[in-house]
Amino acid sequence: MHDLPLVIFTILSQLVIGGFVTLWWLDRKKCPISRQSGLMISISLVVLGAISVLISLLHLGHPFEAYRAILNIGVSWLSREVTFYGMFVGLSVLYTWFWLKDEAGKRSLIGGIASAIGVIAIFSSAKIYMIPAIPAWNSVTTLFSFFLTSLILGPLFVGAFLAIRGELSANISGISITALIAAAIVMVVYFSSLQGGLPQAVEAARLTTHQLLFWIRLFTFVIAFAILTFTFKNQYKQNNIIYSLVFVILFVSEFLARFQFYETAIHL
Amino acid sequence: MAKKLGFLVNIERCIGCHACEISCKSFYQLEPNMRRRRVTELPEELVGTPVRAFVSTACNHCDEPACKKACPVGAYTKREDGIVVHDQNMCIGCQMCGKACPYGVPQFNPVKKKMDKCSMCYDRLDVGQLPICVEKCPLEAIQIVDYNEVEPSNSVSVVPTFADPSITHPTTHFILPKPGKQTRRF
Repeated sequence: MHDLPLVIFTILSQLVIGGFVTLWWLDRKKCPISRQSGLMISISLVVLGAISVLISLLHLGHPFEAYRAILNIGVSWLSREVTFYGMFVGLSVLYTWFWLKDEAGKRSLIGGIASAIGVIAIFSSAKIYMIPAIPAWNSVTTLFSFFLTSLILGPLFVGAFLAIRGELSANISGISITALIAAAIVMVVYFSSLQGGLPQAVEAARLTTHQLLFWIRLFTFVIAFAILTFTFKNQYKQNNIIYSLVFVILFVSEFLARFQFYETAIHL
Repeated sequence: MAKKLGFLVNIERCIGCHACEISCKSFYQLEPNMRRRRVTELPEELVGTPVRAFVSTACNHCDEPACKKACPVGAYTKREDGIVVHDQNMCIGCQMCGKACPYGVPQFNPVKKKMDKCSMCYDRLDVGQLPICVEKCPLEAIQIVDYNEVEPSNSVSVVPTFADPSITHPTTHFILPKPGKQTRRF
């Protein structure tokens, strides 16, 4: 499948940005995170960010000329995505450096700037696909689903990491449950708008729901939601196993949803 | 006043011989599955009474080209005469222009690994020659028109299977076939 590199890139980049913002926020809120844990999470996010960039190059006919992709930043959302995501990854390296040096003030400042640029990168990424030529993409639900992927995977990634290190002091379940409820609403709005849209949108909805992948996506989504809800009240159950398990389940779920997003898009 | 060049395709004249399509493909030595111009059959109910009609389409050299907005490297330019030109030397083969174009015009060249599209043979036009498809059509069904000078009153900007023209404002216009007379036999 030609778009597989883009499926992996968008999912990984949104996970990385969500995770980064979570780490920056927890650190800023003075949640106790040891230097070693902060450094490990930060390094893993930089590595994942770099991997996502390398994978995104695979969908180009000429990957070694990818540097030119920033030339049309004035009008092209793809140019803007490349520029802002590149800046985000660069700043996250600097952020990691300040974890290494344990300089909380500079870390907070750079983390804040990188977080804002990361948000702009996700916005640019979604705008690339909001094009009239592909009715199933040309909706604000694309924008919401890209941000929600970040909100679903990012905090859980950091939460699982901190839980494994035994340093999780914040309740990550709350934000994850809220994000999943929002994602469910977006899903309903998305399929309703497809059904009431142009013939290509109706066909995209039919193709999506007729694939087994859609039902696996729904099943994993519901299972993850159920686990998070049942363990929400009990802080002892919010452990490394639960967060790691839910993260893996939701990663699979979001990956399948994104795969179908590309696979079932019908051109005008 | 700057020109606004566009194709005027006379569906009344077109017999679906594919000469435009093949002459273009041959002239530009395109890869086997690639076409810069395509001839397709239109639905019979195009003008009310049943007619057999064909339409030849290529790049529509739109007023607001979606390919130009989508391209991250700025490989697309719109000339003063309205022709949308793609610079293959700039292209990195991201294929975003093909996705963004409502008509799916830019195609991926699997050998060069770059996008490719009709240029209205601007290099031929610049030296006073006609585009190859216009020259080779035996029915003279394709013309180049400066729509800033003349707006053919008998033409339309959309035919069935053609995307909504309000998205990118394509310059291509079509002359529809005249409805045939129906003879009733009692």
